[in-house]
Amino acid sequence: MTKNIIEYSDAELYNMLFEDKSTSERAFKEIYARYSKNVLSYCRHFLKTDEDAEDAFQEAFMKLYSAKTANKEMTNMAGYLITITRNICYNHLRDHNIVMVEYDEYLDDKSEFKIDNLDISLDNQTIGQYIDSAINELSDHLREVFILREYEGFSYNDIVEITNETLDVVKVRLHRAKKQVREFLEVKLRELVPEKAQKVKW
Amino acid sequence: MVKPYNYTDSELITLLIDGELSGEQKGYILGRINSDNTLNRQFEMETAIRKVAQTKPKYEPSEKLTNDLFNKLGFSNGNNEKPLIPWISTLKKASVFLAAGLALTLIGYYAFVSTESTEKPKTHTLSEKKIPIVSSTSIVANTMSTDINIVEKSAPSEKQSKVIKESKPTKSINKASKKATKVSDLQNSDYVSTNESKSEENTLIAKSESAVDFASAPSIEDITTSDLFRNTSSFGNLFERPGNFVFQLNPFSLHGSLMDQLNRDNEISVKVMNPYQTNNFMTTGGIAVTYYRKWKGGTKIGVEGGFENINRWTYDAQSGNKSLTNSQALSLSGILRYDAEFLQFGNLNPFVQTFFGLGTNFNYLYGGTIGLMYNPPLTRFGIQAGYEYRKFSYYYGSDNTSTMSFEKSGATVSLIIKF
Repeated sequence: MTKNIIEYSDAELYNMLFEDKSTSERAFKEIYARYSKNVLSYCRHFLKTDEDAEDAFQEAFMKLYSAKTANKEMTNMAGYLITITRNICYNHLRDHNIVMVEYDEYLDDKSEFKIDNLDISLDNQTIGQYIDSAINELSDHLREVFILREYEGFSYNDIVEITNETLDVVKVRLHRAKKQVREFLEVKLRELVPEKAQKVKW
Repeated sequence: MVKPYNYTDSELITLLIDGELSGEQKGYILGRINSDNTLNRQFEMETAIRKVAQTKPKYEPSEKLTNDLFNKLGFSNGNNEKPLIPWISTLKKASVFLAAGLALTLIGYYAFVSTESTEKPKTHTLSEKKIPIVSSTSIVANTMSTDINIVEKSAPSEKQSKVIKESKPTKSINKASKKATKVSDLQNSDYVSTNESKSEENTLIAKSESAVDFASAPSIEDITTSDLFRNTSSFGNLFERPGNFVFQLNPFSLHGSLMDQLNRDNEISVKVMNPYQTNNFMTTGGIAVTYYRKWKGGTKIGVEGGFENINRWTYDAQSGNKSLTNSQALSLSGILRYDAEFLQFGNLNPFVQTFFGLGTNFNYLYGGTIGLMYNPPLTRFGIQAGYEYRKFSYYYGSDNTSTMSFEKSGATVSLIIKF
């Protein structure tokens, strides 16, 4: 018995994009169903406005469909899509002269805060909002690796492939990104705690 | 403990959480975390960040965003269809298919049985006079160019029975016909066609090369036009229950689609219908062009225009002549089709469709098809098989006040060509 469309691998679906229109449409929709959330989340995290994110999102999938390359061995569809999306996002930032605030500058002013003995109970949603705020303050390169690693779950090697950087650079950037997010969070948590320590539950 | 590599402790914590450390490195940094509050706090914080980030719901494209994208790409709107009943298991699907097959068989059986009474000419009084039948069909054994006489009797007289017994069985077009033209079978005949007309009203001759068969007619009263059809349509039979039920395989139905069968929103197909046998004549079949458009989910609507040969019994109220006339009909039908995608079994997809149409030389037609379509996505060909039933209604009497109907039904096998 031949497989159902949802049982096809990413590589098979990619090859089906070169079939007749109906088959390629079906394959594309299956790819879309699998990865649209990842791509949109990446765009939403990377670009600041919803409108920009949705534009980049659509452009990424249009590029996947229109710029498909025959005989390409598709081993990592998620990475391939994110690579396309990443380039689009960078182009968008460049075209719109968007300069992200460097978190380093912000961090320098607040670095003396300590949260020793801080005990706070916060829900994940609030923490998530803090993290979103934190990564918005990161530089493009740091934000990118943070999103790829923490939100999209890519391995170091995948990130190397997507960003076309060395493994050492990726490790350093990831460490810096996490450090800055962590410190940003500590600042926010400190603001939530007036005088008395509260219970911290992660 | 020796610190491995050139990473700082803080960097090692990051690598630890990301699963990038070896066993030796893990041992080292875990020891450090346990002994250093700052490192411990970093570890807890990064672990919490990981947990929050990975459990955070992903942004989902809105329907509008998806539709905009698909429109730009020239696709149909909507995401890939998901099964309506995602929990249905393979076993359940198999059970459904089995049940559907059983239902199909029963429907086919009872459809034939139930048509006996409904197709009997009600406006015609049976008499013993000869009624010429004029047929324009030239397909069957080249004998249809000549008139065929039919003698109708309410009951065969002794003399008639004698004549019948003396007449020779005629050559039949199929196995069933041969069986049917035995003298004993003709004794209770209602209509008997011949090549020769004789003046005696009580003379029954059955010599036609395309003799009408009454293999299973239990009595005169039970003879109907559908009996004529049923008992002569043995061409390609898979099996036959003596009597009423004929399961017919029609291997000549060609279904050529201009569009892929997968997820199609629009489809144009050319269907060459098999040469049905109705009213003892094998028609030349027909040809139809069908356009389907995807409507909702697995539902499609379509329109089919076609040409078809039909054989009609007509009755002249003034002369009393009853004719079996072959007519060419143009038809236009609306179709509602449902592909039961939630029952999809691999590439095997059940479908059911119903249609209703109007046309020339008949009043209306309606019917339905139920079957399975095998349609692998990466091939150019598919196949579908099903059971089709269609019923034509037409005016029987010359005064256009009464109607008769005839039916076509049987299993069809269609080749799907995708290009």
